[in-house]
Amino acid sequence: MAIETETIHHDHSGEPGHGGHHAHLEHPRHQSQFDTMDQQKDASGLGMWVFLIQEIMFFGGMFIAYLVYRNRYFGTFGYASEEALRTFLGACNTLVLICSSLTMALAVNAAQRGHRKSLMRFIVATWLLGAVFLGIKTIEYSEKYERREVPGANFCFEPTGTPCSNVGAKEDLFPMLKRWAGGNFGHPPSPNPEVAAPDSQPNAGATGSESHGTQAGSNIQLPESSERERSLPGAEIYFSLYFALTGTHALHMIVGMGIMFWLFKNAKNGVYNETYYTPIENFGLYWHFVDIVWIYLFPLFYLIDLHAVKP
Amino acid sequence: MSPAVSDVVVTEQYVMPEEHYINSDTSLKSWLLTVDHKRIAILYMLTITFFFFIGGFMASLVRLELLTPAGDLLESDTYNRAFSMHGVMMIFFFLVPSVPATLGNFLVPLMVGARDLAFPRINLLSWYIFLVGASFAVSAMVLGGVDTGWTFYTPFSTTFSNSNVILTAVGILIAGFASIFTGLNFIVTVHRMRAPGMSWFRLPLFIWSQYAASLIMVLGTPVIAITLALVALERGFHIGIFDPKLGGDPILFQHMFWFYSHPAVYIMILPGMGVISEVIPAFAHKRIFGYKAVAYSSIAIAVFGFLVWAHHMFIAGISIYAALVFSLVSFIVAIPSAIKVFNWSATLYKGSIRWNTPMLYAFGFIGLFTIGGLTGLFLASLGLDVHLTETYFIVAHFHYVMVGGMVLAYLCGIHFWWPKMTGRMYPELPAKLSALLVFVGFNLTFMPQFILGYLGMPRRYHAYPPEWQVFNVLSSAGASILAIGFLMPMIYLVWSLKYGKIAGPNPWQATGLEWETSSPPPTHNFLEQPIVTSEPYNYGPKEGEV
Amino acid sequence: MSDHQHDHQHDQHTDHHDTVHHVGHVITYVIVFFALVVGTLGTYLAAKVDMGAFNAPVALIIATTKAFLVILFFMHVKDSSRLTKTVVAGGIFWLCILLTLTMTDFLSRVWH
Repeated sequence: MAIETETIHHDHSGEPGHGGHHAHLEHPRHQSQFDTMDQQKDASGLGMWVFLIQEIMFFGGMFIAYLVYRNRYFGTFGYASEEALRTFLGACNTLVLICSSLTMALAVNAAQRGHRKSLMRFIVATWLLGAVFLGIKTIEYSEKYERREVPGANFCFEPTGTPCSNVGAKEDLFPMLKRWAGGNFGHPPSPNPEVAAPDSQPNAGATGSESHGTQAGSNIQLPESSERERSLPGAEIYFSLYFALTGTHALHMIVGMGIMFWLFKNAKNGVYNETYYTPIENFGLYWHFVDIVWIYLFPLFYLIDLHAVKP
Repeated sequence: MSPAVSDVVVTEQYVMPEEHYINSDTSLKSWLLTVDHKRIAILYMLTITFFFFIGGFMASLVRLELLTPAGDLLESDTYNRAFSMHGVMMIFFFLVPSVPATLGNFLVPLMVGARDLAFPRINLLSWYIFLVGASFAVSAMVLGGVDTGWTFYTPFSTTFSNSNVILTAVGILIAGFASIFTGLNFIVTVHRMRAPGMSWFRLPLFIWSQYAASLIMVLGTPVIAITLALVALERGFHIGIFDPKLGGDPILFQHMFWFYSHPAVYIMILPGMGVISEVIPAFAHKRIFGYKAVAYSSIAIAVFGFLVWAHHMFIAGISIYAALVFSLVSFIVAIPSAIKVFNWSATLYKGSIRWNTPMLYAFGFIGLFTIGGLTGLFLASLGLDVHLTETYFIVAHFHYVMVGGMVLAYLCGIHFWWPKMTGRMYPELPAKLSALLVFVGFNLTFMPQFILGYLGMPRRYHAYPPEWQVFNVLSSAGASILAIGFLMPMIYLVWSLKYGKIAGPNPWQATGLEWETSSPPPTHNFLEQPIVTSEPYNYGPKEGEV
Repeated sequence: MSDHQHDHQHDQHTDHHDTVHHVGHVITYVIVFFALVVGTLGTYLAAKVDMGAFNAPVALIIATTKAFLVILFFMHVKDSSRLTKTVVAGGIFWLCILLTLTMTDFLSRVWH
């Protein structure tokens, strides 16, 4: 147990540069529960790492789902990846994220050296690169929406590789949002209501007191669009995982970019210097972690098997 | 042993300290925006007590329905919702936060000799996150509840259920992050905030068990968060992840669910074991037997607890080869628990035992936890599990661990540290009476359920064949005694806030840093930085020992 | 914690790993950055080649190498305390528990 010696001995570190035992208490960023700034910094760093462990397991839940279904639908995953994902865009995004990781590392470096101006510049650069990434992601997502590759009632992925028809079940974004706002998730209004009715009967009869309004729509057996049923088995799972993983990843980036505003404001006000830069450093850890997730998502979704034979 | 050791613990006249964490600022705002770990512990305690009684109310509905073989009080659908809400409330909103968020929050900084947890604001945030998650679950309940059981098995939860699955799942997901933040705070505090001289093997065993439970919170909870998020997405938007109709595998859900939810039972029981490890030496007035074994067994439980989850799925259709492995490891995880029980028993040997309420609860814990643990071995055996799973045997088994173990440990800890938290003693006589009622009521409630389960009564049905009625009546009768046992502390503990005898700093003559400061402690816990010079549980003759 | 001695005379408040080598770090970052770019291009090009069963392992090995570069250098784990290294290793280990133990089931039974 070597780790504890440091915590115990922090008192005798003596503060030579500050001439006085209570010098550390005068640091404006010192929090009262810590004895020294060193202890505070160590604790924050450890806390950040523990948080990242939590993040690993959070993504891990989706990675195990990926692993299971990748084994089950080996050919389909490769085929869907080859058909639907644009490897070039994925590679571009990987490069963009790597660049943003570099600027983030340099931002931390600048903060450690107390270079306020270059810290601000690197934060802005990281933010912009993040925005580029999300921009490219938006292009990819909207393409998939157009091609009805978003999982759900609209989903369609023809085994033949021919594009799906753009009529019938496809619902525009705005009516869909309106429908969700009304608590009616799940499926778009059927163009042919008589088809839906018999399907919903057996379930609705199964229980006496039900449907208290909130999820009225979700308990009904869906009238599947026949195109969805004809879709390649496992393809919808591939796209569900694709959207779940890349969506969670994008969400982490959006959160990170929000935090960057706060960091930038503080950096501008000169909060960070050689003696205090923990938030920058911890945010750097977070940003690099998000980068690592993408480093895995790129091969797993874009590159897994470009030479797959059609299943 | 020394004559000071007797049942009557407070013999001197003490006065309350002038200023302490409760009276330092009495405005409501100072409570709602507090970053003091002790106040947050109190906030948590009030919140989870509320959920305990909601869950208890649901349990009484279940027991009332089962008085008669016919399903006459509740319809099957309402019954499903009653036992589901009982499980959800009790597990996610009472048991998981119970000891860590109340006693843990209160005691971890005190025991390691720190002024506060490492991240006090995150601690407060955790309570608010818990409230948000809880309000989701409560609104789900108000809107009609959830009928999936607390396990949310797919595809029932994602496709067929007609209840508020999404709201409940999101509530649990959010509350999970409260738990993660609590665990994160404890881990960092134990690593980085220990007082001078407080080396790892001088830490109280309560800290070791909290630390182990925190590891599980941080490593396991995110998996259930993402699992329930996927369930909510699949139910809301009918994407295909677990739905067999779209090529998914519901068993994958069970894997992901139990990856957290099995270790989660150790989140619930480990802190309880920590409480017992404090109380037994204090009331036997004896050093704990095998300190390092107990400490390491906490860590071992946390690690092995992650390797056994599929024993919940033996009949779900998993591979028999995998089932064999999981069955074997499940037996191994019993070893560290047994180590603890043996060490507690050995600590009692030739101790000068005082029969105060916490000790009564601790004795109850050892007995009931042993029964719960041993019946767990029955269920870990592949063949027997096929017969017993999904029957009342399972219900009895985990109630023996969770109520007989955890809730008793929680009450034990509340009574033990009540003088520290409030500065006043609880009244001993009604407390002993309620401990007795809880013990008797509990056994009467759940012992018949072992028999019912062995006879084949399945869980989660509101009607049953008449020949099982006698056991069900016994069980419901026990439940009403149990309810009285749980209600009594509410009354006398509140009473003691005003009329209880003033406790003084260390009414039990116990060891540990928390007993070296005043009761209730000042806002920053210690008036001067404590320095640890002696081994833990330094009971008995002091000279010649250290 | 072993490198605690480095900065005693310099500055108590700054991180003990990073105070010692300011300029060196920028070069390290840039080198690591170019390694990552090369890895990305490499994995992109490797995926274009039909290697049969080896495409996936190659892609994953490159990804893991890149991830470790980021962890060790960008996230400073190389110069961190033993505790930090333990935490990182623990996280990866627990992810492996989740992945492998679940797969013991799926790989040893017939599905459907």
